[in-house]
Amino acid sequence: MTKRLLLLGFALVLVVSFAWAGGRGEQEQTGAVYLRFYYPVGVAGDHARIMEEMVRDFNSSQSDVIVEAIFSGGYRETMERAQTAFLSGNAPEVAVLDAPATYDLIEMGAITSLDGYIESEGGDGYISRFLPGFMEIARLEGQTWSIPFQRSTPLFYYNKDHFRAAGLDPDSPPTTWAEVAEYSRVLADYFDGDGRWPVQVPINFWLLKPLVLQAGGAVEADDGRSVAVDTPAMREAFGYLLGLVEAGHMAPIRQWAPSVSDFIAGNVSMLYNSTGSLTHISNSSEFEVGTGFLPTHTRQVVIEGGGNFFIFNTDERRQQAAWKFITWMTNAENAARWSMRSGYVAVTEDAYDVPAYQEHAQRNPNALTAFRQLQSVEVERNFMTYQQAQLAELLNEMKEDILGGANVDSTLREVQASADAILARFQR
Amino acid sequence: MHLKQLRPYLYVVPAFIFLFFFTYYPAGFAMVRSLFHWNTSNIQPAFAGLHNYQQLLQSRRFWQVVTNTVIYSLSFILVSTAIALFLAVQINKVKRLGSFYKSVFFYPTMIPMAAAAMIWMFMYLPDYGLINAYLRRLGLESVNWLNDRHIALFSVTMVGIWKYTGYYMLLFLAGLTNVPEELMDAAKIEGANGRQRLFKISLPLISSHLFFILIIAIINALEAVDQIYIMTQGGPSNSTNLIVYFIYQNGFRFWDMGTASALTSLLIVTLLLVVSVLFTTLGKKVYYEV
Repeated sequence: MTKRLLLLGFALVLVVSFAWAGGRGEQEQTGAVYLRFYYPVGVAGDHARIMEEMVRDFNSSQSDVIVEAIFSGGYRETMERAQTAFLSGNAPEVAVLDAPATYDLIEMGAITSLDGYIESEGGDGYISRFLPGFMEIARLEGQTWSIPFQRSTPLFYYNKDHFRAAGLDPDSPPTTWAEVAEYSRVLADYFDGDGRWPVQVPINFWLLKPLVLQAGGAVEADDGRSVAVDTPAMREAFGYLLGLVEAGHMAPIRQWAPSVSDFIAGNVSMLYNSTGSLTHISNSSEFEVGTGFLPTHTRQVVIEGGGNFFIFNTDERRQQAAWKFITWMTNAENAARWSMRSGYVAVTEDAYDVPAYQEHAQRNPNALTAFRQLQSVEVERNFMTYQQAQLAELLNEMKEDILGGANVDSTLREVQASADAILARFQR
Repeated sequence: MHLKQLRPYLYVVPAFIFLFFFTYYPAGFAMVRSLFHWNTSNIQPAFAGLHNYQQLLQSRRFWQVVTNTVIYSLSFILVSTAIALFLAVQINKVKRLGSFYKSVFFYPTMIPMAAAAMIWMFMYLPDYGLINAYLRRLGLESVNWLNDRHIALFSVTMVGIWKYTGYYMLLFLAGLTNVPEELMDAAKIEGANGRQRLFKISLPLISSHLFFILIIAIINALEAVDQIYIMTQGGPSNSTNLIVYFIYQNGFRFWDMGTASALTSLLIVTLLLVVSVLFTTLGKKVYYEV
């Protein structure tokens, strides 16, 4: 009996593996190029489903390229997966990765420069469709390495119902650090110690860098080979955050995802977060959601963030196919479609002319806040260095240390030393 | 040699092949690669001597991780085995519903650690988590279980203890049920009290179980990583970063495989040392039923 079962199992394995191999062979025979496409989901929402839909539509729109969409976790996990796959000689052909990974991807020799493909689409004429704020991070040392896709900026969310109840104007969110502190006081008086918090800036280097820029400083050098942590602007940024914590207006340490849940649950009135969370927050909140530009200080500036398309070094045929996929995913209709469904900022200017997008914007005025912010405020690139994941982690940890009560001076000194050690091998 | 003599070796071959390819070879490979720079700048490994080790021993982060791991391991091993022994002794006394209690305390073992960590994460939520809800009902202050660097390590240790105690309890029970009734009856007649019976009779008789549980607990403590990955990612302020998570972080997140290999080698050597010391000291005193 056991012997029979074993035989049966063995036969089954054989049949299945032959069927699978046969399937693969067939695809090759039709002459279509088969591409593996890794993509992350970096914010809350059903982005994976939307992505699968778009890829399916791409596959049925033509017969030369077959893309398999492979969900790979968050930005970090997707980067880990793509890197490991590349180093074991099995890289995906195309991936959406966190744009600041570019230096590391170039250092490994994993990705291909896109200038040749861009030239074939019309060169600058093609690139000028993309919002200029999003192209800076894609261009390094005279070459273009990626195409913007799911882009975002930090956005200021607030609970209009709380504002009304506390006697604040629900249509004018705070625009400066000082006003945030002031509004927090008003909201705290209204909450009267019932456990709700006026404001939250969750732990993330991505929300720290704009604060430093707004205080007139900088974090990393343009060439990604050095980081300055122990600076007056950094101290000023922490002064702002610590002021909110010490006044009891902000919980000292909240992570990214829980901070969104806190806001949706009405436990936090004002939240620094990503435009990428917009759809999820709007759909899940039972109160009226307001959005505003990031409150500023001495300089009105914001950074961009999010994922770009990268093409891995494979062979010309597959790279060409990957490029075809990318141009389809970022044409006006699809850029608009991805933006409407996901909440990310539409990456091309022509997307805003798509009739469906204009209707969408009319129904959801918040959808345009990020776009207006990008048009009216200076935009700097995301935090990007060599060993970016390691340094980003270091900055997050620094924020946890300092907001958790560690001494500011000694923490900044130690973090500076660690950052220098991490970047030592990249000094020229 | 006769076929008969060869047979036992033949039986071991499949297991050995498996062990070789999935344990010995990777371990040896890691030890060799720990002597190389192997990172985003050196896709082809470049010989580095002991540089990776030197860097580690000089870094504050490494020592913080070692301290975290020692604190985690000691508290995990002591508390989980103590509770397990206590529960086993109590359940062994129970005349009815014994299997009911056994399954009640054993059930966390059957839940995968990743799922258990998710459950605990919700229980630990600061504003609407279960634990803080109870605390508030009792009129106590809410605690920020996973985001306070003085408390987070304790919080993740709790999850480990909760997960493994039931398993150790079952192992203790297996030993205790084998302790002969006559011995206990004789001791009672001689006037030995409960504590004396436990420490002078039961424990020495089940010392082989105790030893086995200790070894398993040490391994479980040092390999703890799932709940760290899911609940805290090593934070806040690196306060819950344990050795295996640190290896993962260096290897796959920072793509510094040389450092990750050096850490792996240190972990392997430490584990072998601890286990061999235990075998040569405590192991000698263990009583095995013949």
